Amino acid sequence: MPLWQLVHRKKLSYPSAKRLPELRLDGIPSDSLVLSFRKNPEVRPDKVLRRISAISRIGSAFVASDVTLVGVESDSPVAPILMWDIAHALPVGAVLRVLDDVVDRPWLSRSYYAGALVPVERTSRGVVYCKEAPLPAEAGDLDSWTFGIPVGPEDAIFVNACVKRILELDIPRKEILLCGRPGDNFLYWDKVRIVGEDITAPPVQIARKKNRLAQEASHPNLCLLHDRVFLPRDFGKAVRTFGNAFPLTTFQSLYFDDIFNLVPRRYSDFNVGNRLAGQTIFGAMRNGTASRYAPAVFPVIDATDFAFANPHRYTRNTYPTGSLYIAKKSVWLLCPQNDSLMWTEFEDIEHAERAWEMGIPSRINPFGFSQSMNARPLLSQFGAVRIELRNGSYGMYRPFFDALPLPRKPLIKRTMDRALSELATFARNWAPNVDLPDLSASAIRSYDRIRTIIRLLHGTQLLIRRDDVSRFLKDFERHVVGDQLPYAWHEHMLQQIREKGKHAFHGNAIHDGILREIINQTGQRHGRYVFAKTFYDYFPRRSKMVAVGSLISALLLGFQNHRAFYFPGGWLWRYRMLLGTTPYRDYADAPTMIGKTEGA
Amino acid sequence: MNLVAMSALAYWREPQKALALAERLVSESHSGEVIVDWPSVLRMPADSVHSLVSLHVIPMHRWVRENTDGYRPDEKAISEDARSVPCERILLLDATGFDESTIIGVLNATRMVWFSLATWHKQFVLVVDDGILLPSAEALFNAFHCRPYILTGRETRDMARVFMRQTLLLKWRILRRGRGKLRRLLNRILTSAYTSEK
Repeated sequence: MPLWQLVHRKKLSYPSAKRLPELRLDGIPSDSLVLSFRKNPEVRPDKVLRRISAISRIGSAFVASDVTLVGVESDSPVAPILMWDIAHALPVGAVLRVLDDVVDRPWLSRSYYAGALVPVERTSRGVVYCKEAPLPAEAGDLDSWTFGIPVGPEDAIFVNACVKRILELDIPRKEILLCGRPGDNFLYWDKVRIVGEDITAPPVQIARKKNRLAQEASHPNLCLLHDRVFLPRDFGKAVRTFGNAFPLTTFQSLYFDDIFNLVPRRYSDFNVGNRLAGQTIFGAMRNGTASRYAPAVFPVIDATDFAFANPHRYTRNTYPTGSLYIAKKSVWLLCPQNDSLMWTEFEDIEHAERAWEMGIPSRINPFGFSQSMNARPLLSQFGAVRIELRNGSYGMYRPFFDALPLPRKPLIKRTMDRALSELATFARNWAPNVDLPDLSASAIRSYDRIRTIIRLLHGTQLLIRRDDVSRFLKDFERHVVGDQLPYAWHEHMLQQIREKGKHAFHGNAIHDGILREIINQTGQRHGRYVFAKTFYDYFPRRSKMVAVGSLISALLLGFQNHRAFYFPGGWLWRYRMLLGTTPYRDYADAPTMIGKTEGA
Repeated sequence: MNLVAMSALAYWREPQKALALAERLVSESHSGEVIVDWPSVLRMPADSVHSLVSLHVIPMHRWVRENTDGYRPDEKAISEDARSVPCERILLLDATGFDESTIIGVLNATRMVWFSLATWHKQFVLVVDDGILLPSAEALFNAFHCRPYILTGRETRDMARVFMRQTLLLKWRILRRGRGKLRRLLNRILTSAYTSEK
């Protein structure tokens, strides 16, 4: 009987064979390929698959029609990913035995596998499945892709860059769908198909838009991305190396805070919320159904712990953050996002958890990286980000050159003109008695901005009534902060103002309450520009400095390998990856030469 | 909700005139925050009267409980009255005879109850002893309204400087943590202990 032993990557602190029960091989047919993390002292394994983690794809390692898994689901937190791969790698007619597991809901009994993996025998040790049909994710090859981008009517400069990069990708057959109508400066009307113009905003119905894109897709492979995501030039190579039959997948994502590619941050790709499983409060969704992700529960969810997930680890609450989904159309349509949730309403977490319930895991494709063209300052603390380490604990990651006074990209995705008009709107609505002699300066430097904000907050005039205070806080985050703040902050401020009245945001109280995010923003741009002169500021020019900066970052990022990131290659791989994902300024300009690419 | 701080003398001697004056001042003020003192009521013409029908009077001892420390606000009683008194009526809280700190405590509790009411009453009148009319009026207006406080240029500058300094200190705290990591990293490199996992 062929026996393959699985061994976890050492530093994950997942159980090793020494800490596991002994492998029992009795009752297993002799021609069955046995896979287990356990060891039998009398039988030497034929093969040892080392360094198993959530980035492993063991499905490609074997071709067998009779496989036995002994204790895999009990022994390994990454079992859902391994079992997904094995179930998809098996040919139709194959037999899969799952033995010696002590779990309440076996992974392969979940609804995703129901039509294909049929239990044919139940014994005291486990279940024997027969694969009677291909699974949904096996549909199609990797040559046909639909790229879907939810867009709004604002400035299309980022959509232009995003679409231009997609047109360059090494994919034989591709189509580009936009859900919604982009701004007038969009350049590629003849290369895209526009769908979902009937979906209204605000609020941004992002889940509905993504579902519409999936429904309208004509290719079996979906790549749903936000318009800030700049895909890698070798996207095709990355997905082919990773292999077919993938679940909800995403790339790791970088954002360079400076224009020389010297300050790389990990940015909104794959998160973990370990305490989410303990959130047991239900509320009513907008469609009336009961859910743990209902609007009334948002502040509670917000207060749970989030961090950037380590690519090697997997839990039920690991999820792609919604900006880039690489998935099969058939899988997405089986488990679409919840239409009744809007943007920043934890629609990504709810989706991944529902997918997990169905038997669809979420994971990272480590062979490609994306770069974000802009970033929300809210997602980092003074430039550092919270990450899950290999051993499951948490740590902070701060870029090596973060403290250096390098020329930076704008902090908030808003032009100075617009920032000024927003501040003036806030002043008009809430502080009509305040004179703002230096308003024009407040969009330029942090210090002047702070002065204006302090003056406005002290001059605020409002009724201390829940509805009015709530409206005031929403206006504050929209017009002054320029970002959507956490629901927990909103609830905290409501309670503070209820208890303390105006003293909640006057005097010294401003430092730890209402200005929490402004402190974070100021810390990231102390004495420098906060807003953009134009959105072109986000796009570095092609220069030797960018090449040198990328080389230095490629060398230094090696120290973060397996920690904040996972890189499948060495420094040269990283250097090529950084150059291949940098959104240069010419991507935002009018098309000059797109090369041999095929449009929609 | 219009807020009226009324002198006890005016209310008890000339209630109709005092309420008529309050009505007139409220209609002419932008903020809906009004003080009705006894000399102003005295100056009112004799024919100025206000019907007392729309008035709902609550003696403040209903909203407090007495214990060994003195008076404490009774949130339950305040909440019941807030919900039972129709919104179109003028709510008059008679705090005559109570000291300033008790009144402030009750007004704070009142704010917390009124905070979540969807519809506020037309007018809230607080009747207090003339000696504490002004501080009580301040407490009343601050309880329900966040009133503008105009900072001087110097105050703004000082607060902004403190803010910028605190922000920098916070950032340094995180940076210091980062320096520790850098030191450990350099140690590992120098002692050749750094081995990259492949």
